[in-house]
Amino acid sequence: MSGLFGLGIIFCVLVLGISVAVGVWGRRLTRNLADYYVAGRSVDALSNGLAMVSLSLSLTTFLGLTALIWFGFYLAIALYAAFTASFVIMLVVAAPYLRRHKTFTSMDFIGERFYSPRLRIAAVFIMLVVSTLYLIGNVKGIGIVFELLLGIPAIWGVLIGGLVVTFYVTLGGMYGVTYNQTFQSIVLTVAFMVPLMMILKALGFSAWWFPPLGYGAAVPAMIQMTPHYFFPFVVHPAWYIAVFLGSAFGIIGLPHFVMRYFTVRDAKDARWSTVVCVFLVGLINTSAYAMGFAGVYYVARTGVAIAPVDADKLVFILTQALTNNWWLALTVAGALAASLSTVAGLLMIMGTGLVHDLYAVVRPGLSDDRKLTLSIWTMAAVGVACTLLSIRPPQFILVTIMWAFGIAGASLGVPITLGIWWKRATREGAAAAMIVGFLTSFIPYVMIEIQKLSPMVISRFFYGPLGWVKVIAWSVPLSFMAMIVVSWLTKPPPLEARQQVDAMHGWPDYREERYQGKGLPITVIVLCALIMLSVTTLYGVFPK
Amino acid sequence: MSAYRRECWLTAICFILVTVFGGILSVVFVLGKDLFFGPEPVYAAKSHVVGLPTHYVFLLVGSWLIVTAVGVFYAWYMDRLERAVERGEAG
Repeated sequence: MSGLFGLGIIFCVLVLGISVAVGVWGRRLTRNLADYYVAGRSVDALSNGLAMVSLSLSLTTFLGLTALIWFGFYLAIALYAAFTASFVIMLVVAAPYLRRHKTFTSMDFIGERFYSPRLRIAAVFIMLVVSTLYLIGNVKGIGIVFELLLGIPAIWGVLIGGLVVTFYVTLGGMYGVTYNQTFQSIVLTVAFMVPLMMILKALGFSAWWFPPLGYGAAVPAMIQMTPHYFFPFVVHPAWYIAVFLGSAFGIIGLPHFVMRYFTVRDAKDARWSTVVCVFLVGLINTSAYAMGFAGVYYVARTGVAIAPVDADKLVFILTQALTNNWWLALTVAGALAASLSTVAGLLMIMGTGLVHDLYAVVRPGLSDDRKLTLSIWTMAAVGVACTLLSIRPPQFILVTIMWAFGIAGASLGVPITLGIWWKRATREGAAAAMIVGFLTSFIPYVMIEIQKLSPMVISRFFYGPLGWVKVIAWSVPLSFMAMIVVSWLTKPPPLEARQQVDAMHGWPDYREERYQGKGLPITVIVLCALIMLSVTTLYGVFPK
Repeated sequence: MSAYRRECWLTAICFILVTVFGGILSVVFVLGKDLFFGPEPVYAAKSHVVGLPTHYVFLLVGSWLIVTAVGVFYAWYMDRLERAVERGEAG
C-alpha cells in the first residue's frame, strides 16, 4: 500500500483542492439569492448535462452497483437499466416544464402549483428524509475511500470528506456545485473507464476497448462457473415493474435531481442536458456491468475469497489485483469525486429547502440578503449534521438509496407529475398522494431496514430476492389513485393554479380545455390497479 | 393535428417506448422464458450477440442507446414545436 499511499494522496488532494478552488470561484460569481440557489439560471446544456452525470453516478456506481451484481447479478443490471432510462422519463414528463415554472426547488413547485404553504412545508419534511437516506450512503463511501487509501478508520474519511464538501458548497453555492460537478464528472468517467479497460484486458477479453459489450468471450466460462448469472426469472415479474416505477418517479421526486433543471437557461437546455446525461450515464452504467462481471468472473476463476462485507470494495480489489497502483490511485480519486458531487447536490437542496421553503414560509417578508446569509449558515450546519449522522452508516450503500428512490417517487414524484399534466389536480389530492405515498413506503422501510423484519411480515407477496422492492409496486400506484380520486372529489383548483399548467407547457395563452381530459386520469387509475394486482398474481411460481 | 395534441401524443409515445425498453423488457424475458432459454435445469441461452445472451444485449442496448435515441428525437421535435408555438403557427 505504500506506493498507493503517495499516489493516492496526490490524486485525492488534487480532487479536493480543485473542488475547494472552484467553490471559491463560485463565491465570486454569486451576487444574489438566485445566483446562490440556481446559479442565476445561467447554466448551459452541456455543463448541466455533465453536472447531472456526476450527480447521478454517485458512489453507488463505483461501489454499490458492483456489490449488488455480486449478490444479485441480473437483478442489479435490470435495476440500473431502469435508472438509466428514467432520465428520459424525467425528460418527457417533467424537466422542461419544471424549468418554465420559475421556482427554485421541488418543494417550492408543490407549494405554488397546489396553492398551499402547508404542502410546501410537508414536502420539505419528505425531502429531508429522502435526502438523508441518499446522503448517508454516499458519505459512507467517502469513508471507504479513505480507509483504503490511508489504512485509517473510515470515520476519519467521513469527517474529512464531509467537512470539505460542506465547505465548498457553503462557499460557492450553486455556481460552485455546478462547475465542481462538471469537473468531477470528467474525473470519474476517466477514472472508471480507463482502469476498467485495463482490467478487461488483463482478464484476456479481446474487446476490452469497448467495456459495455467487451466481455462476451468469457460468457461460456462464466456460465459454467455461475450458471444463473444471466437469469431474469429469479424474481416475480412485478419486481421489474416496481423497480421501473421507483426509478422513473423516484428521479422526479428526488429534489436534488430536479434542482439541476432550475439552473439552466431555458426549457431547451433542460431537454438537451438530459440527453447528454442519459448517454453518458448509460455508457458508464453498461460499463459498470462489465466491472461486476469481471469481479464475479475473477473470483470464480481464481478462487480468491472476498468477504460479503467487502463487496462494496470490489472495484478497488480488482483494480489493485489486475492493474498497478497508478490506476488504483486514479480509481480512488474518481470514487472520491463521485461521492463529493452527489453529497454536494444533496447538501445544496437540504440547505435551500430549509431556508427558502421552510423558514421563509414560516417567517414571510424575509429579505433576500437575510435569506442568503441564513442559507450559508444552514448549509454549513446541515453538512456538519449529516457528516456526524454518517458515522454509523447502513451496511450496503445501494439498498438505502433504493429506498430513497421508492419513498421519493411515491410521495413527491406523483404530485409533481400530475401537477404538470393534469389541471384538475387539487391541493387536497396532492396532500392525499403525499400522505399515502409516504406512509406506504416509509413504514415498510422502518419495518424492514430498522426493525430488521422480513418483508413477508408486511405481505406474503414480498417474497424472493430483494422482495421488499415490490413495496414500490403498491406505494406509487396507491399514491396516484389517492391523488386522482381525492382531486375529483374536491373543489377544482383556482384559475391561477390552472394557468400555471398552460404556462409550464410554454403556451402564450390560456385555454381551459387543455390538460383537462378524463383520458389521462382514467388510464392512470386502470394501469395502477393492474400493477397492484400483478404483485399478487403467479404467487408461488417464482423463487422464494 | 394541433400543437397541443402533438405534444400529448409525442409524450405518450415516448413514455411508452422508454417504459418498454428501460423498464418492462425484463418482464417479457421472464414471461417469454421459452423464447430465450432452453429447457431446465440448464436454461441455456438460445442465441447470442457478440458473445452475450440475446436478451441481455436487448436490455443493455434498449435501456441505453434506444432510450437515448428516444430522448434525442423528443428534444429535437419539441424544439421545433416550441418554435412553432412562439411564432403562433401551431394552433
